[in-house]
Amino acid sequence: MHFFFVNMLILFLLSPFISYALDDENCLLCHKYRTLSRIDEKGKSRIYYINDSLFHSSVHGRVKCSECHSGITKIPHEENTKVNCLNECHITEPTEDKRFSHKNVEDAIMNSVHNNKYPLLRNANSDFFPKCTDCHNNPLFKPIQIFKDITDEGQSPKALARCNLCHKDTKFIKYFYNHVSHRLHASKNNKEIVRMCERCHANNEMLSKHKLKNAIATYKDTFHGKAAEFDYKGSPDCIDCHVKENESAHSIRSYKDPNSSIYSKDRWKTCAKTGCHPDAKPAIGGVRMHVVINKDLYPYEYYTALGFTALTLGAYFPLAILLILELIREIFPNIKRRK
Amino acid sequence: MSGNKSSLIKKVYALIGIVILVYSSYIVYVLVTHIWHFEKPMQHSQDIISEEEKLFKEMVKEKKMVEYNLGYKVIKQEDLENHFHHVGNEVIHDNFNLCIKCHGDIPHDKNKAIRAFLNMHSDFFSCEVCHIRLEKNKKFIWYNKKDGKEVKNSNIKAYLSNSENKLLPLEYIEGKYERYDSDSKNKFVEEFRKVISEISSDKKSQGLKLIHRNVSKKPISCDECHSNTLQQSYLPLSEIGYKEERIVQILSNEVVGMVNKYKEFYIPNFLKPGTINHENSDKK
Repeated sequence: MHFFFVNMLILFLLSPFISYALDDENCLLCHKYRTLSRIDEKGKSRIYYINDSLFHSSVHGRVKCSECHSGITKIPHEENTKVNCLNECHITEPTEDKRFSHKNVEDAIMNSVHNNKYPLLRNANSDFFPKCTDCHNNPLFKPIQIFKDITDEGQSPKALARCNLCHKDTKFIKYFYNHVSHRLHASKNNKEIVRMCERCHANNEMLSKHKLKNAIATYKDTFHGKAAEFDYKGSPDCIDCHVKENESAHSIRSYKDPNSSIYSKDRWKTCAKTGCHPDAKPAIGGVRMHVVINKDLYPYEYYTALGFTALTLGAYFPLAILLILELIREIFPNIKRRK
Repeated sequence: MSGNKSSLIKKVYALIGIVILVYSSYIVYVLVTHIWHFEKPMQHSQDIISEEEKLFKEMVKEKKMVEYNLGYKVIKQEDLENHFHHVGNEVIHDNFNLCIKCHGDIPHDKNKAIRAFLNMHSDFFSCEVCHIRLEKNKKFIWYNKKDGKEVKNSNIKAYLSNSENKLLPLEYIEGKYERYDSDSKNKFVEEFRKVISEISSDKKSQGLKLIHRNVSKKPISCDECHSNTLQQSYLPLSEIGYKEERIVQILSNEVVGMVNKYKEFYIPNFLKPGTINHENSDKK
């Protein structure tokens, strides 16, 4: 009898974690199949597969399917049940005991250039603004690896051993470790951030709609872009310059906005961040980072680039042609022009 | 003699020199001119292509792969725009099946309720399994999707997702079993695909009829395999390699029950004589 009660007590205590880990809604009965898919009416592929292992290695790994897919209430599922990322989910924010939601992210977006009510826009058509999934897929945990040895899930057994001393539920410990250590560093590396931004900022159609220039191409021309391309640790990506220090990555504002990190008067402060150019003076803010070679927009840069191109190619090509002709003469020493 | 030899070496060196100079000129050109970004930006609304054209462009493009470096491992997967969940492993495509050469890997589209399920089954069942109804002499084999070779001794204990092998029925002809994708049929389909743009319309119809001559009017339905008992199942599950634990799952209440729910769903009530569509009348 005692044994029964002890078991029940253990099950009761562990139940929150067990229920998150298991697919207790049994969605994977169907969604575990890689090819559960179709072509939709518009001709796009729709994939309904959930990679269980990757899902459980993600920041949403403890969220039940129905918390996000709240429009789905029956089998067969209703049509057009879009996910609202602002749904409150079961996870409780421990310091306030409130149910978690992405409402704060929405607030940040509403103060950023990425919403159609922002005053400094060139095109305010709501269809041309990003939705959550335009920039984000499910973030995968990137736990910090402090010690040399790590488990298959990227955790350090030595660090886990410290947690184990007081906390007994391994699943909870691993999740907590992943969650906290993932948040202690950038969740996307430079290349991933550039890849995210280029979906719109290197997309000709989007650029045309918003009357913008290709910011990704001009970024890649700079030392910053080259450093990121070669995986140089600490190289700046879009977020580093376009978000004010200690603000949410969602708070990107126009360069005309006095609150922006790249507002002309304060731009140098962004360059002078501790990890970047700490000794920089206000003059650094005058360096143009996204230079489009365009005579009407930037005449000085245009003629400098023209001069550089003409000089380099003008010096190199004649030299190369002369050398090639000389080498041809080496191959055919007796060749003569017909008289 | 030695003079000839040194002259030949000189010529070879000169040739290599020319190649290096041409290549380095190309590099210099790319390096110097890349800042100009010569690609034409879209300036006018008429340059914006329609949704259909965009989709077609996307379709003919090669799949783009992306990497996620998690520090302890790198996930490489297809870059799926606007897709929230990670898919990880790439789909193992069937390079061998006759039908998908024209119909593709995701062929089911008509029946809204079950099309995704049918496409899911086409991962491990060839089209012929459901679309050619075998009455007598039922026999199936598994084949490898990449090389088409028969795979023997299948031992299926768990569900098949992104399977390397596919099930194929065999045709019984004069005491012998032959694959529905035999070399001769394969050859005929390949020939037909090559000449289809040149032959007359009636010949096209003739060819299509010939290729599809074994296709049943009524394909095998879900509940014919996901039946209540093993004996009732259209597929001889244990003979084709499914182990008991998997058969129990395939014929379990949750799968069979769900199949029945879908059956109810895709046969609308108004088609059943004597029933009233309460949902609609409530709305009114």
